[in-house]
Formats: sequence, structure tokens, C-alpha cells
Amino acid sequence: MAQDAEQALMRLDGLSAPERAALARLAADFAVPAGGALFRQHDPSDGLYLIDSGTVAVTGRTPGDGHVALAQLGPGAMLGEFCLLDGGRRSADALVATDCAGWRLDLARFAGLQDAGDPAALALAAALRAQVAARSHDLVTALAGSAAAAGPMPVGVAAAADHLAERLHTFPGFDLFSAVDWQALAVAGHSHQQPRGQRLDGNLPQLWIVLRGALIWQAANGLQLLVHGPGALAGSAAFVAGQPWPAQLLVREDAELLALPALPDGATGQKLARMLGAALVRDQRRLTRVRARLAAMEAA
Amino acid sequence: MCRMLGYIGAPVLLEHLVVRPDNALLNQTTDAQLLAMLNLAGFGLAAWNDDLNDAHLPLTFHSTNVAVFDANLRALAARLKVRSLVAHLRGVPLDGSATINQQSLHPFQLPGSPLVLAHNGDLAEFGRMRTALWPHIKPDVAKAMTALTDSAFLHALVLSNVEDPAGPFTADGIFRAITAAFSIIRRVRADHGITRSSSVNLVVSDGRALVATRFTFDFGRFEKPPFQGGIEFLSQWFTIGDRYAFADGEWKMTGGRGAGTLVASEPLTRDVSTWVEVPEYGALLVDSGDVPRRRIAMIDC
Repeated sequence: MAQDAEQALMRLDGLSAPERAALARLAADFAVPAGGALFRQHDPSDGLYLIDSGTVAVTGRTPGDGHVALAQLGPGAMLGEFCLLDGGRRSADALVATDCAGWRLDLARFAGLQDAGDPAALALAAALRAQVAARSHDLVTALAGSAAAAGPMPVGVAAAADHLAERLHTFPGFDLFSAVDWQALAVAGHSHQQPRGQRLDGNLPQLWIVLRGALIWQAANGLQLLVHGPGALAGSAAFVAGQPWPAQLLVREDAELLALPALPDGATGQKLARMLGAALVRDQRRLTRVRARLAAMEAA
Repeated sequence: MCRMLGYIGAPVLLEHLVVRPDNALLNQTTDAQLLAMLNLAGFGLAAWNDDLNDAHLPLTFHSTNVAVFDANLRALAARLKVRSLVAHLRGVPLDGSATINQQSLHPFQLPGSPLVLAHNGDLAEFGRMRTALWPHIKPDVAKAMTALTDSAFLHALVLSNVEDPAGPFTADGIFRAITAAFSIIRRVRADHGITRSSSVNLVVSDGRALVATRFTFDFGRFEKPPFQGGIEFLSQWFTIGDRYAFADGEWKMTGGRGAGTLVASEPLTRDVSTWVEVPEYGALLVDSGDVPRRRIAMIDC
């Protein structure tokens, strides 16, 4: 059975054969009959599901207690990957349409391996980040329409580690940073002070850390997609995918920012990668709520 | 910081909104899910019910009791049905700096006007702004004011920018008055060099029309930690449907095309699946009726 789970993991780019084998050993079998559910929206999460047989209907709830179909998944598909990146609750119902079986990668075991720096767990997290980033890109394309032209990239100056620590040390994730991490972050990034209205998206997406002020993602049709305040990682999906979003990243309030062209090496990079995964999922959840709001207002 | 809700729709028992759901407004006194703060400084509501005398004016209730322990409020909530409601749980810093009295409780209402306002947030350095705001408040409104807080001034500024404080109102008219008030505040902040992040999430209603804003002046602009806010804008959520009730084991709006609109600082249930957010820098506008008119408008000031 572990061999089959290993094959199911092949659909994720970026995993080596030894990493797939190591992850497959974490997988436990599951089987749910038609009419049951792998999980329901808002349930506590228990792991990532790999489907070997059967079909699962993924639906989201909407205001007024309606349901909207999100996906129909069959053999070879995976679902529930958000929780491996942020540990959060389920964001949709996964209802079993025909008898379903496969493997589940346990969240707690995965988190333990990731905490220990296990290469296979880190590789899976990176692969899932890429998958969520791609999904965000698709959703933004659906919400925003045609791609916006990329803007010029502003030029930054070197950041001071003390200043970064002073601004960020209270925020989740950054509260785990040591003096070494702040130094590594300062070396890796460029600080900016940008006025309201400045456009930041470009052909080579960077990861923006907001120190002060706020950024927004705005579609060409004027739809506001995301707002990022102090402590936020902005532009995470474009940064991970390495391709611009079909939307504009604008300074909404006069801002102090740190731009990272790449994650730092070593432990600081790993800490930021964990935060990046959580940011990707948070942004995706917020985009999903934007879609739900638009649907609810249209239906009403 | 505070918590609040607004409702327009089919008559519903008050306790179904403020007492019974697992994250009902009263439970947010000590256990708000989206705000790490106690809200101990009192409770107020304005409720409309067609059976009341002068039905266009709200029944109001204000108490400085800690809301979750307020037996009078619970008794009232178990008996009163409302077709419209604005309710507010007041939270203030726990350092003794705020005045706790009945006049400072939301929602604010002035005699003869059905338009009430509840506020979640605060205007930074409001003491420096107050004198500059007086000239923007109409004399009749200023004469009737009983509180001098930032929230009371917000209400007075909105009332000073409507055609007639006695009404009638539309959501568009209320929204125009709110944006006019925000523009005045923006100018006064600029004149005084005030740039600190200041949230003005509002629920404003006359019982027939309702506007809920989610807006922060200079969001994210803080001098130093600890921050009041940060990654996330102060929250404002809503759901729609025929009726808010306990169904299939949970509290929720049922009937997606219904006439009811429920807006709140945070969902009234820990499960937020059937709620969505008012966009940051935006507002939800509702004109009630069998076929209500609902829309989202962005705030440009």
C-alpha cells in the first residue's frame, strides 16, 4: 500500500523519489462509503488526503445556508492540503459521492517532522506552497479578469536589523526570530519607504514584508482582493509561483516595507518558509470569501 | 474596542441574536473570537418592532452593567421580537482612562431622530480633534448631544450631514452622510498631524435602511509596538437569508434570497462558514423590504 501512496505523491512537483518514499511511510489507509464525508467545513483538520478510488464532491457553504460546488475529485487527486501549511480548520465540505479510499498523511506527524527539519516534510511543504500559489493565481484570474501590465520596480536600500526587530517582533512568526534571524533578514532584503499609490508588482515578483502602513491587491476592474497590514507577507503567491498576478499591488497607506527577492538560507529561511505557507493559505481563504461575497450579493 | 451587530429582516427574538448562539454578542463580553480584549464597559441596543408606540423610533436600552451578567437584558431578550436591531457591547482600555456612564453607551440616538449609530474602533488623539470638529456639527445636533466621546461625535457628524435628522432615510443617503463625516475627520486629522491608525467600523440605521462600514484611517500606521491591529483590518462580517434561527443543529441564516441581513463585528457562531466579510475600506448598504436592496460600496476619503 505504501508503494501506492508513493505513486499518488508523484503528482506533486519537486519531490524526489526518496522523499516520496519517506512521506508514503507516514500515510495511513482510509475508506469512506458513499454518502459520508472526509471532512466538513470548519472541522478541525487531521491531515492531507490522497484519493486512490472513488469520487469526492468539494463544496463550500454560502450566506443563506446555500452550497456552491467547488470541485469534483477522483483517483489521483489530493485535498485538505491547507492544514499542512497553517494547521487551520477545514475550508470546505468534502462529501463522498462514490465509495472512496486512499491514504491520509497525518497532520500531527507531519508537523513533528517539519519541526525537526526533516527533508521530506520540508520538500512536501514547498510543493504544497507551489500548489496553493497556483490555485490562488487561478482564483485571482477568475475574479480579476485580464492580466494587468506589470509596473516598474522601486529601488530599495539596505535594511537595519534593529529597525526590523523593533517593527516586527510582536507579530506571529516573527516573535520566534532571534538576533541571528533579524541579521539574516536585513542582509537578504531591501527596505523601502513608499507613498500611497505606488505600484509594487513587477515581472520578477518579490516577497514584501509590511513594517508599517498597508498594501492592497486590486484587480484591473477595481475589485479589491486583499489588504496587507503590518506584519503581513504580501505578494506571497506571485513570489512562490515566480510569475506576476493578474492584479496590481499598490501602496494603500504610506508604507515602510522590506522586499525579499529570495528567502534567506538556513534556519531563517525555514522560519520564513513556514510563515509563507501560512500566508498563502490565509490569502487563499480570504480570496475564497471575496468570491463567496460576490456570489451572495449576486444571488440576492 | 467594542463588538456590535445590526439586523434588518423578519421579526426575530432578540435572544436569538444576543444570547443563544455560541458566539452571541453577550458571549463576546469575555470571549470574543476575533478580538483579544474584554468588553466590560456596558451594553446598548436600539430595536424596532411594528407593534411599538411610535414604531419608526427605536426602543432603546442602555446599561453599564457587565452585559453577560445583565439579568434585565436577558429577560428583555427572551420576550422581545425585533424586525431591526443595532446592538453594541462596549470595550474600553482597562487602565481607567475611559469614562463609564450611560451617556457614553452606543448606539447613539438623539431625540426625534430614528437614526442610530454604533461604533467599533477609536479615533486616535481625539482630544486634539474635538475643538476643530465642533464647527461641523449643526447647532440643533450639538445642543442635543449628551456625550463627548469620539463615537458620539461620529454620530453627531453623520446627523449633521443628512438632509433631515428626523428622516426618512435611504442607505445611499446615510452612506453619503457617513463619507462626508469621514472626509471632515480626514481633514481635521491632517490639520493636526494625526496619522495613527484609527478604526471607524460603524453600524448606522433608522430601522429601515442600514449601512455598515469597515474603514480605518491610515491603517497600519503605528509608531511602535504593541499594535492595536496589525496584519488584519478590524473585522466586520455579514450574512443574509430569510431568518436567523437554530436549524440542523446550528444557528444560521436560512433561505439565501431572503429579506434578512445580519451584520456583526464577528460571526455569531464560531463556525463562520455561512458568513462573509464586508471589504476593507468598504461598506454594506441595505434598504429593507420584501425584496431588499443590498450592495457594497467602497469608501473614498
